Amino acid sequence: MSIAYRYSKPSYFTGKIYNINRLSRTLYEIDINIIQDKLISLPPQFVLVCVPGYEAVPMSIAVQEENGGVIKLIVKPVGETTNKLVTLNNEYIGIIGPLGKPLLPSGDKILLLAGGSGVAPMLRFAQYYASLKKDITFVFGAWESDEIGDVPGIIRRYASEVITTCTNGCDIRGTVVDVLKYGYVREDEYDYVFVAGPEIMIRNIANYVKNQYKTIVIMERLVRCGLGLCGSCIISGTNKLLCYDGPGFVLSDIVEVLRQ
Amino acid sequence: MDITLETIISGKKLSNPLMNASGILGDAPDAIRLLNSMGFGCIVTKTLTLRPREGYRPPIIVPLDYGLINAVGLANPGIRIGAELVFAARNNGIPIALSIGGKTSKEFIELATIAMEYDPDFIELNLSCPHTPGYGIDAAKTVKAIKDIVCSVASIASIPIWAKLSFSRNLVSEAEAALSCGASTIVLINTIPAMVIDPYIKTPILSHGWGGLSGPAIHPIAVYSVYRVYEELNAEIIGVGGAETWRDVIEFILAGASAVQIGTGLIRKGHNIVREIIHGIKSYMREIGAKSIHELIGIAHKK
Repeated sequence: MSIAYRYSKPSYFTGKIYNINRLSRTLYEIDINIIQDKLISLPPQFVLVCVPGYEAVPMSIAVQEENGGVIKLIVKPVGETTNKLVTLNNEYIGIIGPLGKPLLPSGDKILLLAGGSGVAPMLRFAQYYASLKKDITFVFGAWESDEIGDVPGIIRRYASEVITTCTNGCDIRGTVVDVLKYGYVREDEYDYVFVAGPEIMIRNIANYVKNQYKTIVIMERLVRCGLGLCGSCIISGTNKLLCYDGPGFVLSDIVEVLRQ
Repeated sequence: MDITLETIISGKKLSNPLMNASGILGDAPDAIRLLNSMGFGCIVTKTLTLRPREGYRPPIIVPLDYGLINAVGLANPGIRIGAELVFAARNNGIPIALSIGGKTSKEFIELATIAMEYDPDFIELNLSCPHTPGYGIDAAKTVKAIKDIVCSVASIASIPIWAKLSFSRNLVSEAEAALSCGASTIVLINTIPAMVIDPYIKTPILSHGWGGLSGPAIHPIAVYSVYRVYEELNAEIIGVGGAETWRDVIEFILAGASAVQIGTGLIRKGHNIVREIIHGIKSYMREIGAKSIHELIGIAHKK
């Protein structure tokens, strides 16, 4: 089956936020209309969200609707700008994107491992592979169950199996890597494993998984320009730029960095 | 028939006439290695200042259909990183120009003195950044100011000096001033002051308000600038502004440039652009029967 492998050139768009919903203690969903335009992306491409009077912050596109006319972000407010962003219902924001490269290996069985706000890029992969009728298992972990909240409701739109992990009150007591370690899911039953979350979680998984060539990790670095000009997001120890080569990497390409 | 892409800048041989424009990567050893892997004949660092600068808050770049507008704000780790950058370039066997930017001729002298300790192949003077108050076009506001800076630096420099200018109505006299003080090479042109406004948010998009326009939008202006300065002064010139294809690069060379810098093209066309352009130049030279870059420089001028 052939699919349209198409995405916009990086451009500036104006967006209007039309829905903000608190999904859990720490996560919000934000739905944005791209005004009179379409921002067509493929996972794991991302955007810079320009909050007027504040900064531009990098954000994964969690869901794309209406062929890029609408995008959903999943935001964890951590600083001044993201705390402002989650109050801007019915306001205009600037969006620069899509940034980064698509990374879409083909496979029939896909395992998505998300920790915290890492759920955003994993959702976009889930949406993409679901559109190709692939079999998706989605593991979503956090420390506390109130950080899980209503997020699984969105995941279930795309994934056939959803497993939550936290210290108490989730499907599994433990961390995302424990799901692999204790055999709740078996890595070798999947064609590809995708991972996003805090770097410590990515490192733990990088140390654990057996097949580096079939594991895709979503990295985070300080992104300033987003276009490969300023060099602030260079993955040190490599000659790769997160915003140009990433944000998704085949684990074998950066395993040295993660295992340092 | 053997063709060579070698070119001579400030008396030094470069393996090909392409280099990155200052401001594109080039402020960390990893970035120098990345630039080297792209196939350039020379590397130019980000402009280094006496003290580290954080630069402006994002958004610092807006991509447009016809180029980019940026206001990075001369973010850099400070001149002391120069030692590591030159070392990284040496290890990779590629020539390097340290770009320096000061607010006064005194700062430029201080920067050049430190830069020379690191022994780069060239020093590029940033006399033309359009968006950082006190630096660039502010520091080099007049022909007199340009003369003051370039003469001061040249009087102490044992390394070839490039003067990077922007388009202006006084372009020829500015270039003449820099050359008369001892600059070996003129780099033309820096970005052009520019602004974009969001019609719904109703404010400028860049956090700094205005920035510098680069890319295809300024290419013909850059070619004109190179042509004029070559015509009037017969100077050694490095062309920069919107070069994205071999045609753009050849245009610069025919107008009088001995080398060409690429910045925005790396972002719009990707990191393979250098190899693609080199391939295109070779095909062009084969087609017209040219054997060297040297025989193409400036031949668009009616004699």
